[in-house]
Amino acid sequence: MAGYMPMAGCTGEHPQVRRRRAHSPIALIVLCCCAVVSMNGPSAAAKPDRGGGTNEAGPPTHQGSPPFEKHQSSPTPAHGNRPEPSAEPGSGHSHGSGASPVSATPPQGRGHGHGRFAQGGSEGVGAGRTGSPKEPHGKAKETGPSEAHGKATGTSVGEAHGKARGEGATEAHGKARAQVTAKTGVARSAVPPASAPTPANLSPAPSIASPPSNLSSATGLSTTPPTAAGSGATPLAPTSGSPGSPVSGNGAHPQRVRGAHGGGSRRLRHGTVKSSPAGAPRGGAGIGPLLGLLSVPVQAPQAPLDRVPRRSPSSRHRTPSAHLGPLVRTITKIVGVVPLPIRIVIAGLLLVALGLGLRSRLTAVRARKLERQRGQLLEDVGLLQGALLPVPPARLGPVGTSAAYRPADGPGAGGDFYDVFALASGSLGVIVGDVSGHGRRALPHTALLRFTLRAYLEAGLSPRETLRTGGEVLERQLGESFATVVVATYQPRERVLTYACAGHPPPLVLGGGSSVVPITACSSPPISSGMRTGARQTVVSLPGAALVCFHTDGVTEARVGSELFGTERLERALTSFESDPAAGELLERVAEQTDARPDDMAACLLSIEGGPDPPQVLSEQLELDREEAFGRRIEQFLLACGVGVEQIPELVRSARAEVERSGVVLEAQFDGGAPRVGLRADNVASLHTAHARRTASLGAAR
Amino acid sequence: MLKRVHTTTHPSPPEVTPFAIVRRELDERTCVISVEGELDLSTAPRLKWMLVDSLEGGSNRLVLDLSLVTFMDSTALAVLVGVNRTLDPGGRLEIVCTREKVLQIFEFSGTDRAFAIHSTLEQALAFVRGETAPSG
Repeated sequence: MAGYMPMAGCTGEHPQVRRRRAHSPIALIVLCCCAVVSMNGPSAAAKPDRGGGTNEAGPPTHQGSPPFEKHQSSPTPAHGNRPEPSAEPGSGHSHGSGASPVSATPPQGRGHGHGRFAQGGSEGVGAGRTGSPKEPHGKAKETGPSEAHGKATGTSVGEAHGKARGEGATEAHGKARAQVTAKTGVARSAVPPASAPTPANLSPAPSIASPPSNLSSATGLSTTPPTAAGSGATPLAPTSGSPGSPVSGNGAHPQRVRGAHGGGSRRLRHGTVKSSPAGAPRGGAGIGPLLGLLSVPVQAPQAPLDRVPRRSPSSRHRTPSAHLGPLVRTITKIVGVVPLPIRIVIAGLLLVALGLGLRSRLTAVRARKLERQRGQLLEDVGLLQGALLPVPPARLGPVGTSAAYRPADGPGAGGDFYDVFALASGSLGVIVGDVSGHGRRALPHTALLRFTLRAYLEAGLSPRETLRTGGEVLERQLGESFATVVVATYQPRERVLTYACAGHPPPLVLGGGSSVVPITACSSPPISSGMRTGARQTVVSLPGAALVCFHTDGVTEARVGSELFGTERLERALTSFESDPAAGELLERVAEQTDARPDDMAACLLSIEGGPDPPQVLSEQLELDREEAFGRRIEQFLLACGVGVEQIPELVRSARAEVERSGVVLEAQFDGGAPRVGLRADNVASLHTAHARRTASLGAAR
Repeated sequence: MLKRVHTTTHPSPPEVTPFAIVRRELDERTCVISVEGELDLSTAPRLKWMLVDSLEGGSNRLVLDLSLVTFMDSTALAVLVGVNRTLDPGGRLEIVCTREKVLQIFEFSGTDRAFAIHSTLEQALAFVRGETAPSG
């Protein structure tokens, strides 16, 4: 056993004892850790005992040896040895003497054991004697402890001691063994009975002291615990007999039990057997110190030890391990090869592993909690966005209206907005837009855009003027973002739809089996794009039944394989319903037909009843400023409207002349044949003027 | 003088044209950025970085050659609009684009006012160089 550190006070250890000592600690450690992991319960009881501290305080001598503690966990047969736990709380006695160490508390000697324990443990050994706690383990104590034991327990204890003494080192041996066993054996050997009691004993230190019989029986284990319990650590120690070496007491015990001592141990065990049941605390005593040293709830392992003693004495050193049997033996064998420092390292690593396991469990719990909170927050964001997206009435006058919004699948969610509302003049207003930049940054902008543009519409501005004035106002506020918007008004009496787009796809207008092909030449740029907007406007007549679909580019840019959904597919989707669909149904159909939707989708549908007449574009308007007038824009626009090439130069010249004086609106009117192009001055000096103009134009019955 | 300055390649499925973006500096103020492949949510940021790098490198006349772009959506458009806003008064962003679908996107968005769309690279370069001369 290289590296094995003989306990202070041990002299002339029996080689067998030494070997056993080496084996048992490791086994104890492993068992302890297994026990800790598997059963977390009973340890609590043991802990307080250990806390008593006697173990810590006392057994500098013995405590140094962790193996000793291991004994604690395992039913230290040593308990049997201990018979007088009280006698030697500190020194290994506790277990060997069983009674003695534990009994330290009882003044008689048992009590001393405890007291001693605190002091240094070893004393406990002698403590049993009531007063000679200080005595060295092996020396005088022997007699003492034994005596004490004998007294305490009467039969078993004395026997243990006697054995110890007689055997070889006898006293010293016995003690040494006791110590050793306490360390190791305690846990293992006869301790079973002790073990069980030990946990209990640990706490109720005094209790042990009281029942002398218990002491004796428990001696190895139980007796000490109670006494030791007081000290917390002591329980272990006392049992073993030496606080410092709780192991000793216990260790020795098992060893003895195992047969090193042969008969002696047997008897001891017997004693323990008896004691264990009686002295529940006893077991604890023996184990207590060990446990205390280990500071792990080793009670669990003791339980089996307690049971063991019941069996025939012949199997003394097997009884404790009989339950764990093969496992313990295997572990012991494996462990026996390992030198002490390595065992310490292994024990330490096992504890570290335990700690890490606990920590990762806590982390997992925390992670789950955070995940739940995250889910709730996302839900809240969804709720807020839902609050910003209005639900339009199903009908506004003779027009059926519906709107729907479907956020993007991925990180691009957020940014689309829409509104459908009644205007004072009996008309209907529609706003559908998309703010660039997504998520939380876009949300406040959507509300700002919607309400600002709505206010201008309600004040009487035309869609184009709304975009132009609103664009100037909002450009400052949108900052880095920009927004594409379509603003429209529908006058049910005239059955005229007027819309203006700012960087936005124009609405689909379906009716009478055909659809309007919008002229998108010279489209206005988005709001807050650095350029003036609100220059283009389209007026469409809806004489018959019609379906108008306003949407955001998320609908037409949804992916179908490697292609875009596109306006053709959208048109097909709109006409695929038996009757005019609601916006929600449309978006669902689009979602079904697409593979990916990286952008938000919003749609607003106007369902207008009527005859079979198809919709007609009445006019296309382009507002010019000086810069545009002197570019190629007029030409582009006129060509797109179908104006004859020969007319263009004249028109361009007229437009440029006009724009010098005031704003100019170039209007191409379609009456069925070639478009008529007109120029008119455009002056939106105030909202009042705009309102007056609008009222007048409404009365004009276009 | 054409010197290859920077190339990034984006891996993509074999049947799709791999995304590639190349920058060539023509002179200290002009550079040509050629894009090939699809410009969508995943590749638009690369275009943005390239444009921003060019601007920070001192060029303020950017010619963006989109002749080989097979697909473009509003995210790329947002990039262009954003870059256009950051141009200083003397800066220009010219686009070379011939594909119908891509042209339509520019048309719908009304951004054809901000940056002129040319049919060929030569036209764009001529336009840009024409601007440099203070003849107006």
